[in-house]
Amino acid sequence: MSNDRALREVERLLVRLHELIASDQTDSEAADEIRDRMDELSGSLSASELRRISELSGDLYMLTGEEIEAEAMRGKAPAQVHAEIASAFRMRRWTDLLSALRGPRDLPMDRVAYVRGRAWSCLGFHVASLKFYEFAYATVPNPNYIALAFDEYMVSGMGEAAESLVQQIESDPNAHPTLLLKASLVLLGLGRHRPDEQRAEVDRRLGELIGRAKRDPRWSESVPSLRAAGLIARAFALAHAGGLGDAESVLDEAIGISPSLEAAWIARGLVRFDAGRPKPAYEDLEEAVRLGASTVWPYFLLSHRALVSADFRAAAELSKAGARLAAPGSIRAKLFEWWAIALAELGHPSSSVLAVFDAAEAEDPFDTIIQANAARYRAHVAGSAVTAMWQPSSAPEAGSLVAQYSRHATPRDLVGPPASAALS
Amino acid sequence: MGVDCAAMTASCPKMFRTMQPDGQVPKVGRSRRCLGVVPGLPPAGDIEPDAAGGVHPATGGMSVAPAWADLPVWRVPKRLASKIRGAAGSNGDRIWRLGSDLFTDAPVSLGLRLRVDKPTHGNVEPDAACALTYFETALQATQASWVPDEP
Repeated sequence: MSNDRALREVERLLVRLHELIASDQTDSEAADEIRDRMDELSGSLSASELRRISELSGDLYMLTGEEIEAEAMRGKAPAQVHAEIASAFRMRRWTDLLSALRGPRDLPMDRVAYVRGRAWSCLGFHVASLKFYEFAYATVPNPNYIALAFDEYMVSGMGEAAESLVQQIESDPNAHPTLLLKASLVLLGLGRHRPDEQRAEVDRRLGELIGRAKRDPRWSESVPSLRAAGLIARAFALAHAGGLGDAESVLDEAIGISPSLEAAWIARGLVRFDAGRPKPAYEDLEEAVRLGASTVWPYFLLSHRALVSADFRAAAELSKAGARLAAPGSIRAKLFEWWAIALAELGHPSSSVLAVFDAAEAEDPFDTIIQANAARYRAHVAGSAVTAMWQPSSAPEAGSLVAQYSRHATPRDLVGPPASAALS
Repeated sequence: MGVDCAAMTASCPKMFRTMQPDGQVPKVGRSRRCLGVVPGLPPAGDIEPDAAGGVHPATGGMSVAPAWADLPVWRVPKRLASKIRGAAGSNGDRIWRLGSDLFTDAPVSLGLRLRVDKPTHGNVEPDAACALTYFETALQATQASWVPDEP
């Protein structure tokens, strides 16, 4: 087992051990089995990783009210400790922050648990982080705390636990809009891998969650980017059911709420593209690029348009920017191909052009158009007479673009920076 | 067989281990919470006997630490959590100490030797190839020399 996997497993076991301790099962057979397993794994951990596990164990005692101060922090004045906590938090020095939190302090417990959750999460301890967020929410039911817990569930691959939490929120008539919105994004993430018949049911639940959130008088208490992301999820569901017009209206609303959210512009651009209205679609995608879009679709569509309109400088810039982003291999292959063509047309050295063609062929070795264009360029470089230089690439296919985007977009893609940023 | 090791353990390296009590001494057994080893390939076991049932130096042994503060927190009894931050071990266990010398590679008693693999961890191993049962008897022979030592 790799060092990191062993560390993650020891973390998970330690959290489980503390759950048993909290339920008066310190001396149970189950607890002993966990300790034996931790012994087996501990040989793979470094001294500093073992020290971190010890520190985490001490922190986890806050969940049962049995936490004690760390020896190194004893005797410090609370004011000094508070200053250390604030400074470490602002500077994102997570280890220092956790150390300072182990000193004498006079802070609300929910706030301490929240800050600990942030710090342990940033150090990669997502299972432990989740416990602190849950404790913060149990202490003071601030919806942002449980929204953060959702993030930890998704990051740590605990999809079933996330879905169970979604169901709790669905059945809670007083659930805050922030929780309804987060639950809808989790549903979006869970639903996109399901077969169509199940997907329709997920979309229906998603629609109900967003509807409830919007009707709630506390709707405006949720951060704008989260409200807009929930609306994007709703628009995906509407588009999936064939309601492109309704989807566009919902996205108008999302853009109105959060005009700087690139995902809203991309989604509306793709919906407009699918609806056969390329002109306003391109305008939306250009805005997304201006906002620094971090998903491939606007670059893909705009670079193709630039290429076919012989705007090779724009085509080179856009395809290069798009090729740097994560995307299916066939999409990245086209971007590399268009980049190579644009470079060739701009008179770049043949070695550069060929290197980019090689990248295109490596991304999708079965694309016959890429193969043909690369072969023609190689023949051209070798001095053979070649009449038609490029075989034209077909235009990106309208009608399924928003479906492709929704299949690949993660909740984090939609909402932008993590919800936690709103708290700091 | 009888191994008289009382004189030797008095001057062996100081080491700590969490074990279940058996009256005033640690319980002997094939467990990570007893005076003994779990036979088997590490890390699932402590030391793996060969086909003939023999064990060899530098292949594993009984885990010990140089100080109680170096024991893994899940092996420090939870009842000590008000003194040792993070203690999450079984309350039925106690922390025991053997010896008083520096925690370094050295003989422990007849047939046994400490091999330090990390600053915070070592194994009490056979000092020469021997039968597993001989090694276990040698560990058992130290039973009366271990004393409870908790903060």
